[in-house]
Amino acid sequence: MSRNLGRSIATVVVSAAAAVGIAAGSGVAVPFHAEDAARLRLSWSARPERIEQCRALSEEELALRPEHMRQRMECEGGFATYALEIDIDGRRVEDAVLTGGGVRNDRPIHDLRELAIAPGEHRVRVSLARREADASGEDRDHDRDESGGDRDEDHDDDDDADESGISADRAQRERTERTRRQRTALPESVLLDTSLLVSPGQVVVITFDPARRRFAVVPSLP
Amino acid sequence: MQTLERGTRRLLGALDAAATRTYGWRWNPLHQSGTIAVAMLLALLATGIYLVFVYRVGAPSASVARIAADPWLGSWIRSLHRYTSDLFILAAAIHFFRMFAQARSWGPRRLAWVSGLMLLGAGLVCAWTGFVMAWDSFGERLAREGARLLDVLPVLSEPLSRLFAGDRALPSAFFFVNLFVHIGLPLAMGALLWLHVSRVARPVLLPPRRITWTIVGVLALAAVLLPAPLGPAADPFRLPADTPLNLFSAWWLPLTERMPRGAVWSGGLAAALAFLLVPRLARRPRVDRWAPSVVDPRLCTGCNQCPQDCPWDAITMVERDDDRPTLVALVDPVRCVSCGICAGSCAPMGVGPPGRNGRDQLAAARVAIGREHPAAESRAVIAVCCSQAPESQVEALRAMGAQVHAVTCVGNLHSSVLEMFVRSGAPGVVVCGCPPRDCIGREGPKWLHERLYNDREAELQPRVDRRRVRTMTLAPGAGTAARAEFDAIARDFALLDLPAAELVEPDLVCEPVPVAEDDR
Repeated sequence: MSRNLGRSIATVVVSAAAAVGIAAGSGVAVPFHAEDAARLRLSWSARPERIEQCRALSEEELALRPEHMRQRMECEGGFATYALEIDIDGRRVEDAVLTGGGVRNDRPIHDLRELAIAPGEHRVRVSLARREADASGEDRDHDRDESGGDRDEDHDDDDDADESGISADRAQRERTERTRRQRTALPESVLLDTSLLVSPGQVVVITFDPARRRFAVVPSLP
Repeated sequence: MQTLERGTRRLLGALDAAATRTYGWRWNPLHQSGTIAVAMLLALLATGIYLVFVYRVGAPSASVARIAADPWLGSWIRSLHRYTSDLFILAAAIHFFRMFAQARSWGPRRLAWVSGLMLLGAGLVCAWTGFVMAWDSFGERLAREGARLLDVLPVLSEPLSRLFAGDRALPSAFFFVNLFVHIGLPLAMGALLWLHVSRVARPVLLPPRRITWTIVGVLALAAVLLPAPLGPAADPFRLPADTPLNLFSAWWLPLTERMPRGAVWSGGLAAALAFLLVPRLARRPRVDRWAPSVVDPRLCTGCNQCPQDCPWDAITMVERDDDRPTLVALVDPVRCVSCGICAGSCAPMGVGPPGRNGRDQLAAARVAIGREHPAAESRAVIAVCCSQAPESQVEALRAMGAQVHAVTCVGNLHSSVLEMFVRSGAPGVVVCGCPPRDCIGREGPKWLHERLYNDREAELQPRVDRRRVRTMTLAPGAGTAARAEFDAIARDFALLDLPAAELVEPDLVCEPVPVAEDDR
C-alpha cells in the first residue's frame, strides 16, 4: 500500500517536473546582444550604371538586319562597379567593391551589411563612387547626345520609318527606355556625411533613396 | 556502428529503468515515444485550428499578443499548442534514438527510418515557421537566421535578409507564405506518417488513452499555470538584449548564428547524410540470427495464420505449384525482419527463420531439459526468457533456481515447446517477455498471450496443465518486482503436485502432410 502510494507520489512529482521542464525549455531567456551594443545597418538596392559606347546605325547597316531586330542605336559596354567606403569618426571601417548581381552583373546591386558601433554621437560618412574612369561616361553621353539629339531635332520620324523600317514610336521608345534606365541607375557618386546620435540597442538603418538619388537615414518603419 | 548502438542501448536502458521505476512498465512513456508523437500531432492540429482563425497575417505580432492576452481561451490554447509541439519534437527524438539503439533502422525498416527522419525534419521546419508567425523578437531572430542561410543558395536574385533590414516595411505576403508553409507542412507530415507505418501490419498510432489524456491534461495545466513566453514585438531598429529561446525546436540557433553559412550548410548536410546512412551502416548480413524466414511448402497446410500474425506483412498466401488444393505461404525476404513471430504461429512448424522454426525450437528444448540425460536436479522451474530481457534480471532468476531457456522473442516461442517443458516434469514454466510496447518483434507478447490463453492458432493444447504455465514481464528498472513475481509464481508451482516426467514428443495438431521419402 505504502509502496503504491510512494510510486503514485513519484509519478505525480515526475510528471509535474516534466511539464515544468517543457514549459521552461520552451522559452529560456538567453542573452542575445550586449546591453550597450548598437549597429549601423546599410541596406539598399539600386541598378548599376551602364557604361556603353553608342552609335547610330547607318541606313545601310539597318537594312542588313531583319526587320524585327532593327534598332537605331547600337550600344556596347558593361555595367559600372562601385567603391563603397564607410568611415566612422574619420576611421575607415568598411571598404568594399560592389558589382551588379547576376552572371553578367547587369542585375541590381543588393547591399546589406551591419557594423558594430558604440552608443554615442558619431560622424558617419558613407561614400559610394563609380570606379570606372569618367572618360567612358563622357564618351557615352557625348555619343548619346550627338546621335539622339540630332535625330530628335533634325529627322522627320515619318521619313525614318520610310527609310529604315523603324517606326517613329519605336525610336521614341528606345530613347525613353535609355533615359529611364539612366535615371534609375546609381549616380556616379553618392555621399552621406552626417552626425548620428546612437543610443544603446539601437540599429541605425541607412538606405539609398531612389527618388532623391542619395543615401538617407531611415527614421523609423516606413 | 554497432559499438555506438551498444553505447546508446546502455543509455536507453538506464532511461527506461528510471521511467519504469516511476511509472511501471505498463505506463512507461518512453516505450510509447512514437505514438506520443502522433498524439501530439493531433493535439497540435486541434489547437492550431483555433489559432488560425484568430491569427491575422496583416498584423502578426499584434494578433499573437492579443491571443496571448486573452485569459479565457487564447492564452492557454496558444501555450498548449507550443507545449505540444515541444513534446512532439522531444517524443520524436526519443523514438529516433530508441530505434537506433535497438538496431531497428536497417533492412526492411529502412523506409520507416528515412520517413521518420523526414517527419522529424518537417516538424522542426513547421515549428520554425510557427515561431516566425508570432513575430516577436525570437521569431524575428529565427527569420533572420533562416534568411541568412537561404541567401547562400544561388536561386534568389535579391537576398531574403533584406526583408528584415528595416529600410522598407515587411510585406504581408511574407507572413502569408509563412502561414501557408506552417499549414501545408502538417499535411505533408500526414503523408509521411502513412509512409512511415506503411510497412507494418496493424500499426499502433496512439498511446493508451490513459497516457494520452494524462499528457494532454498535464500540458493543459502547464499551459494555464505557466503560459508560453512571448517576446517583445519584432523591431528592426532595436537589438534585443535577450530573446526567449525554444530549446526543443531551436536549440541549434545560438550555434549556427556564430558559424559561417557554408559551415552551417555543410554541417547540416553532413548530419542529414550520416542519419540517412544509418540503415546502411547498421545493417547485418542476412544470415543466422538475421536470416529471413523460410517456408517449408511440404509442411504448410495453407491455414493462413502466419500472414495474419506477421507484424510486417511479409507473408502472403500464393498458389501452390504442386497438386495439393491449398495455398502456400510465401515470405518476402525484403520485408521480413527475422522476428520469428511466424515460427510461433505455425502449428505444423513449417515456417520461421532458419534454425528457429518450431522444430528447431523443439530440438533446442530437448537439449535444454536434458532429455538425453534426465536428472532429478533438472526439475527446476523453467524460465523461458526473451534474449532482449535485462541480463541482470535473467541472472537473478537463475540465482533463484530457475532453469533459463533463451529465445529471440517470446512471440517466436512455439507452444509445443512449452508443452514439452511442462510434460518433461518441470514444476512449471514461466515465459518472461518484454513490455508489449517495447518488443523488437512488435507483437511478441501479444501473440504469446493469445496463443496461451485465447486459443489463437498454434495454441497451447488443452491437455497442458495451464496452472503450470505463466507469463511475466522483464523490464529494465523492474527487477525487484520481477523477482517478487517469479518468487510468487514459483511458490504457486510448489503447491501443485510434482508431475511425472513423461518421455513424450508433443503431438503436432497439424501434422505435416506425409511426404514420401523420395520427395525430400
